[in-house]
Amino acid sequence: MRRYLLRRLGLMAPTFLGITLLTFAVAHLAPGDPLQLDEENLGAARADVAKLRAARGLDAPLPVQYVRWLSRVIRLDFGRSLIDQRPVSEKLAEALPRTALVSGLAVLFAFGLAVPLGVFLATRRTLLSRALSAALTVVWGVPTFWVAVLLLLVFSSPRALDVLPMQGLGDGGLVDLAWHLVLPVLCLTYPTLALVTRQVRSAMQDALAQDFVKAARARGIPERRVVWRHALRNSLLPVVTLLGFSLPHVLGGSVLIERVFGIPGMGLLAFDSVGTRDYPTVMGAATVMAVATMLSMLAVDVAYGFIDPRIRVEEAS
Amino acid sequence: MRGLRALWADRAARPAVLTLALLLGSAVFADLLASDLPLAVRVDGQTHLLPCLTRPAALRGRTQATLSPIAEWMIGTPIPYGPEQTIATTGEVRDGAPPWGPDERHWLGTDDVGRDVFARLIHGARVSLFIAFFTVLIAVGVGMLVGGVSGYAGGATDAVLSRVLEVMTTFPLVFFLIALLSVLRTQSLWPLVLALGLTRWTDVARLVRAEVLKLKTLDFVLAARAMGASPSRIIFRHLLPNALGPVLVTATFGVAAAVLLETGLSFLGLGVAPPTASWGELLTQAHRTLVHPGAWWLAVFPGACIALTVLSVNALGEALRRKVDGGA
Repeated sequence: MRRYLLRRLGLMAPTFLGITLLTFAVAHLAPGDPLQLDEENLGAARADVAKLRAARGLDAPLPVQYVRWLSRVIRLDFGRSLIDQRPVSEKLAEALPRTALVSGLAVLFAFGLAVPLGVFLATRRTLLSRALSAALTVVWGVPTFWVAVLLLLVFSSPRALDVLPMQGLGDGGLVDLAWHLVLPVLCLTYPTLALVTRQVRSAMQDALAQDFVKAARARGIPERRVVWRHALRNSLLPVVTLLGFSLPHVLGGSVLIERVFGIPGMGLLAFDSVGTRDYPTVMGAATVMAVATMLSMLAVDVAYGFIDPRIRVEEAS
Repeated sequence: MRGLRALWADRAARPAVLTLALLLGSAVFADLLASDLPLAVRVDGQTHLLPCLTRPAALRGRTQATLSPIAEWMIGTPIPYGPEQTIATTGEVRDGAPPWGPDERHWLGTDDVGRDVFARLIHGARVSLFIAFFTVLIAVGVGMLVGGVSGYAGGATDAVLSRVLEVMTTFPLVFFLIALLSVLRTQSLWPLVLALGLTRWTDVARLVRAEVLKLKTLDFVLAARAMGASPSRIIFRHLLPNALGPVLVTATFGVAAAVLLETGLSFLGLGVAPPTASWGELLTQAHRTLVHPGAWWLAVFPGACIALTVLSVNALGEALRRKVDGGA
């Protein structure tokens, strides 16, 4: 197990380098640099701009700039925002918990509900289970932010129900926060819920058709135990894989959700910063999100190694 | 053709195939279905055939509404409005300002500048489906190339390509696209399609790599190699064609995902530039006009269109999967 862990950790280094290189490249594809905006807007003198450029290291060749940036990033120093001169790490530290809260709750609900729901759908063939299956297929195809807009129309519009708050995360009270989280978390949960439930259902159906289940039943083991212990354990591996792959999607979806509901998280921060060409903030946000995704996928991989001994044995050999 | 007939034989997939045919048809023939100019008209002693496509100079500034009283005869389009025709050019006079709800003139209502929602939906289908289709085409091309090479070559090549794959998977796609598209500072179609296609190939690559790893141990590959086939010939002629089935399934699901992605990007202001209609742009407009809380038609029809497309494409994907898994 230790070898497996070390190998996984070792593989993270090139991935991290790749992420930073990609971020840097994207941010520097832009024609001109942030100071050009100053030049246009403030009418700053050319000599001053050149001086500023030198002071901020923007006159160095790109590879040098990259290495300098990378060495600062490793020390969690993302520079200062070009807009309000605050350290980017400070802005990120404010935004990250909000995104983590909304996305984390969404993933928790999606997977927490998907497992029992998937088992239910796989074991019962009733009208209700069929209707639920169909409903899940339908909701998967509905754009999240459209649902968000409709929900706002129904639950937050002064002309309709007006029971749930429309924007932001409230003023700090826990109850207020929960109230504000209902709609965003709901919108972020349902696509993943639909996807995972389908996966659990089909994996359960496959497992229940196999001989070891028949054998368990023949031994007189109660049906509940057959379903929830024998079959479910053998269906959960693909679900764990899905957990890893759904994280980038949830984080991506959170950008839209944060924008619709005005939640000042990572997505909104990145989006606003792009609009103002605040590259240090954009690069910081993108790097942090990518690293967060990388770490959570690592966690999933490690969990995988624990659950399925075949993995760590195969990898080690 | 044979594939199409086989799909048609699958009863469960039939509604999806029909819906998609309808949507594709409206996308392709958008200009004949909804236009400011008619299908054919005789006016001022001249006959114009399909002016909605040719847009002759003689009819500049005219619309079906202004032509019909003066024309000798006219065959109009089913929806007599172009997608970008505002009240300024439809010349409609009514009580109150738009948005107007669905009625006999505008079947699906109008938006806040009086543009016909039905016309915009039909023309939006063209843009959205175009983006989705070409995005997936590029993604499949890149994905098959990377996956094929990675799987067949193994060793260092595979290790490097696998890292690239992991970086692309890890990097939150929307962040990447926000950064990339804002940097490109363009809102035309092709850069958008390229950006989407070049970021969405990871699923296909992973799948093809796994397929190739499986296939390359088989005897026919060994036989090809024994006969002196070059690696590129083995990859492109022997391995990739055998991996096409699962790729087709993934690609189909990819189209659905791309439609959804386009709506999301439009919403973030990174889609095609207004006033060009795309489904995402229509939905975005619905969000902007939340100030007209009664204007449900702005949100409901485009959303339903997108949901219907995604559903049908996914149903088609399921049907294809059944075919591929069934060994057909």
